Amino acid sequence: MEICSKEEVHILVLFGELEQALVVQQHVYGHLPGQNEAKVFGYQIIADENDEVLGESSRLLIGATELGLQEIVTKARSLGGVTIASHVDRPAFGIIGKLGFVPDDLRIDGVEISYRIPLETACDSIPGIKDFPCVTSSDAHCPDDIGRAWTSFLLAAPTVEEIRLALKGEKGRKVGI
Amino acid sequence: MTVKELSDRFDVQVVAGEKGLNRPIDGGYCGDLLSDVMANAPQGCIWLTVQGHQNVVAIAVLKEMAAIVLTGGHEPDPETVEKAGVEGIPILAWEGSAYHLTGLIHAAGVRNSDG
Repeated sequence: MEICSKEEVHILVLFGELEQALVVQQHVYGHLPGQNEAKVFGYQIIADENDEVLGESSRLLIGATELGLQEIVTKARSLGGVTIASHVDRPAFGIIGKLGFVPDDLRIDGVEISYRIPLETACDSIPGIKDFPCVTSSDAHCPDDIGRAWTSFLLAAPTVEEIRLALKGEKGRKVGI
Repeated sequence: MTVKELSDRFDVQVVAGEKGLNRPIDGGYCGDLLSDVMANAPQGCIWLTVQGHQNVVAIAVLKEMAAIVLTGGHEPDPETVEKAGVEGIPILAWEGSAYHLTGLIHAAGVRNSDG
């Protein structure tokens, strides 16, 4: 799930179990004001695995939540989630552009670079991220964008816990092969 | 003009960092993208923003700002209030728009080197 904090910083939260994500989804919905204006922001169709339309979401999904960044990270961690600051190379909605730097007490597991710049040079070109594990992904908000950037991990199994270990570089797991 | 004088003159509420109220205001800046403020705000300015995150205090310290004004009824986070107190950076609160208060401050003669 990608959550927009009240500071308008985007943060990725990854969970291994659907139940964990649903708890956070309820928390987000409880702090997400506004109604969608389909003519302005587009239709928010809910579809099943066969692309059959089941309905439409009336929530203002493009909007920011009323949740602080610290609150989101703390909540996700308490449920066992991995938190990654989204597209930190972007001026708007990236933590560096929006907040200038990553606060010392914010316990994120890593940072994400958008598809626009290569991962290899990101740490040198973006101030303040060199101490964080760095990944790249597609930030896909429509199907065609899926896979336009990707990161390899060396893991013992495809689980969120293994990804956490890889981000820390522990037990032989690592980011990048 | 000092921060205290500005607060009294335009009825801008002080919410934190009272010990810095005698700081002189040497200019002004408006912005909510903190990377831009860090790069471009003049030293010693008063800064109008809607951003209540604790990082605003660090940036104010870096730029030796006179004060931060949270406009539009936005409130500082509890950590922001605490850090402002420690650093002696006044945080003021203004219910109206940044546009309005900026006009008042500018008309009172507070200018940057470029106007």
